[in-house]
Amino acid sequence: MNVLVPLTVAIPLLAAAATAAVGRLVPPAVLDVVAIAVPAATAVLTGILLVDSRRGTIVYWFGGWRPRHGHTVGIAFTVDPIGAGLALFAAVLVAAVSIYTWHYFDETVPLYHALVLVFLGAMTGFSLTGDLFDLFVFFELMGVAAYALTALARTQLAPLQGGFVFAVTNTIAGFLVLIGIALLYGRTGSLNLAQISRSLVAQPPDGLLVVAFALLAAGFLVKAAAVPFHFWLADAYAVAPSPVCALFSAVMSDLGLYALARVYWTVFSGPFGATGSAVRGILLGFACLTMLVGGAMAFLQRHLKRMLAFVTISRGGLFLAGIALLTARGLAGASIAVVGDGFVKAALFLGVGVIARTLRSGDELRLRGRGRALPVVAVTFALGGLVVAGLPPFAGFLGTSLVEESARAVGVGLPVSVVANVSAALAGGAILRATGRVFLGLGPPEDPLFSPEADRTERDELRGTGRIASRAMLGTTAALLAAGLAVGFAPGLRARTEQAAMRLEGRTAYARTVLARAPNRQPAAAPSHVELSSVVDGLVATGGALLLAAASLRRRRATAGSLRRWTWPLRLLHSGHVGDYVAWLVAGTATLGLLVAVAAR
Amino acid sequence: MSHLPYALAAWLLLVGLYGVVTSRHLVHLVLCLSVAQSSTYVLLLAIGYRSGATAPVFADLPLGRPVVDPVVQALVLTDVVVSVTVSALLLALAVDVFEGSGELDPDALDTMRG
Amino acid sequence: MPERHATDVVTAVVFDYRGFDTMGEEFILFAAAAGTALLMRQTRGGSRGTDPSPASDSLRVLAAPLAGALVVLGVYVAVHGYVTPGGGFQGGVVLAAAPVTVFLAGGAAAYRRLIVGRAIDLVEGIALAVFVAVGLAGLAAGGGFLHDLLPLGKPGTIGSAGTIAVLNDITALAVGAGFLLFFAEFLEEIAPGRGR
Repeated sequence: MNVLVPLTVAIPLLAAAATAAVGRLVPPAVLDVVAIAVPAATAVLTGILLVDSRRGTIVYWFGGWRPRHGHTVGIAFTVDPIGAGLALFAAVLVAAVSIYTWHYFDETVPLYHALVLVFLGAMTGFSLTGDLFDLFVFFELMGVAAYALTALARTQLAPLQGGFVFAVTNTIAGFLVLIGIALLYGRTGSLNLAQISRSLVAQPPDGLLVVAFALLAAGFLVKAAAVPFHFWLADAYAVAPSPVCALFSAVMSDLGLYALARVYWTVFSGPFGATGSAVRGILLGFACLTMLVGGAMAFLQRHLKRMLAFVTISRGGLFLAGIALLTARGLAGASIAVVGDGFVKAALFLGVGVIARTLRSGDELRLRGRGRALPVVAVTFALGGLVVAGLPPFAGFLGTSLVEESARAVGVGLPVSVVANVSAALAGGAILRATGRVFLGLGPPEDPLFSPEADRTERDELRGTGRIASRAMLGTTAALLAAGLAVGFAPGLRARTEQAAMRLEGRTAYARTVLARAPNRQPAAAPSHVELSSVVDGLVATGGALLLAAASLRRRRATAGSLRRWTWPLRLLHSGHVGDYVAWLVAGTATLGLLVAVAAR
Repeated sequence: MSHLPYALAAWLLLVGLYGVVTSRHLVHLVLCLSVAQSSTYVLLLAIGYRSGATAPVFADLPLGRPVVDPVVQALVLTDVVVSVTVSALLLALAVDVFEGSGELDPDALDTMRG
Repeated sequence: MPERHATDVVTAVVFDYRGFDTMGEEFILFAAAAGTALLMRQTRGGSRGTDPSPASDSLRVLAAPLAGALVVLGVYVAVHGYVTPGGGFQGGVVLAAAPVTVFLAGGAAAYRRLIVGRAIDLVEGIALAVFVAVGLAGLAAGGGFLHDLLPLGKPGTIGSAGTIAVLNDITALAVGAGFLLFFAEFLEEIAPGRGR
């Protein structure tokens, strides 16, 4: 068995425990080095696993508990390229963010590093596991570390509230997932994905499976912040420290989608195979709603981090659309977009951190024109906005084009294209507008489209006089942006990602590999190239984003006023009240369940 | 015996969630969350139950006697630990909120509208 | 049972078959404790409340033997976890209750004489690190992470069950320390110690 597999989780966790135990006794520099070295080492390990897993899914049984008589006993990790890729992505981001935080906080307590390391271990475990309950354990572990990290600036009310809302909604999501797992265990007697997959293959989608699917999907969609489960994300990402936001936005949100894809394909694709197109329709509905609401709300924000939070939600909708199509190409598109967009989103959040550190504000209007001294951040924002809008040939465009192609192939090409490109224009436009206003001083000093909110920036990030942004901070921001731009150029990316997607979706091959140790046959991807219509779409969306940004910066008071009246109900829904959010969560779950039940009849 | 535990689990979940949605006090909210979480314990244990079987401890039992499912009990153990620790963290957050604002009513805490 | 000589199958499941999950779960406890500590330390302004009024005489009389009994029970439940019902988690919680009883009877001052704050962090961290180390040792011995290493001993005795025993006892320490961490942080809110 491949010895590296457990190390990817054990090393970060061990480092976390050690940091907490003796962190106070060692000089802070040592902790900083550990905080960078451990994720870097994990990145190397996961990178090796990624390369290895291309030849065949790696299966690892903990404690040596191999399946006997065809029945699984222990916990398995099943490492395939998409899972390993996500784990690698997480490790790289944590390493980069740790370099960034070298000079970001005024003081870092050992417990902060311990929590970040735990967070990394949890993300890795989550991406690599092949066991449902293990998935739940890592889901919760990721969550607990995240809740604490969100509320780090605890002397202020907003971060605490954000952390609280985050914790309540995600905990509820966690036990929706757990109930789903319990139902599946009751039906199949196993917690191992491959075994459950085999047990359920021939069964029709009866009531129990429908409920299990609805609960599991709802739980993961909360994590992924799909509408109407998304409210917590806007609140939490607006108040968490910027480097932490970078991690959340780039990786954590997408892990929820990964789990949805993994669980659907191994467990539910068998029984739900016949109702596939109905499930596709339902999930696409949620995806489109998410893209549009996210994009619209992003455009209405004056607080930079909250704006980026809604951008995250909107892009998450795109990734969900890719998965919802239930095709390999769609999943491949989502994967590429996750990585490319992820780097860009992380760079944007880190850029906001630099702004907060040096200019002592996070509010677009207050920052008007003051960003001229930060060329690196300006470029990050400008390019970031363009990539998010879908400018070819970058990763955002590449992912969207794959999703569009797949949508066309299954007959929903037009709605998906329209929604994806409109929302990309909105999200990209919001970023570009902020770029214009903050770095170029464009636009009126007051904008009625925004509601007159108090400046919600977290003062802990702004302690001290405005500082020069350190090289570490600027360097990592630029490096992440460059990575995001480069992703689109990786050779053979489309073909290899599609192959990986097919592997994830190959239910029977997966079960065979895990349970019978048969080697994987590599499915061949259909040859493909970027279609011209997608390029046109990407350019149109980018143009749209630029137009929206420009229009928003030049707006006359009258149109702004009427727009404000139109969008007011949408804003009212985002009330900041945890009870409301949970009510939406329950309503969303029930709706999902009902729709699936009707579809499966 | 058959359906009662499942009905109980569903009831606990719904009551707990209702409490969370309508709560006017953060500590009360956390406790309602606990109630909802306990529905998962009941559900898991109900699934593991086998009629006529006994506890899965063989210290004084001959091997081969039917026992209830030990895996489910291990899952519940994990579940309890997770629930308790999250509740503790949430209460810590609530304490901090109170210190910062003197308020514990979610309706009054609205720093994040729009 | 025949494989690991652990008569309490639930504990065997927790620490062996699904030992990796248990490791994750302990880290959840750790993360929540670390998070609570991070959130509640250094926030405090001047002293807020006073020590709660001293307990009644009957409580104080009962507390000492009760605390002692809790320690014994805790250790027993923990250590026998793989033989009879019980285990590291259960025992750890009972153990943590003992200093809390001391607090109920004697107030915060008595509690603090008993438990040195920072030592708890150390215990927690070390216990968790040892858990992972045991897993790694199994790996090094070529058997897979958390594979059983130690001699299995006679079923039904404390000396049985190999690695399960070690993990079980470590867990008791980690859980006990974790709960005391939570308790201590909340205690600081109502009865701040001197010199913090």
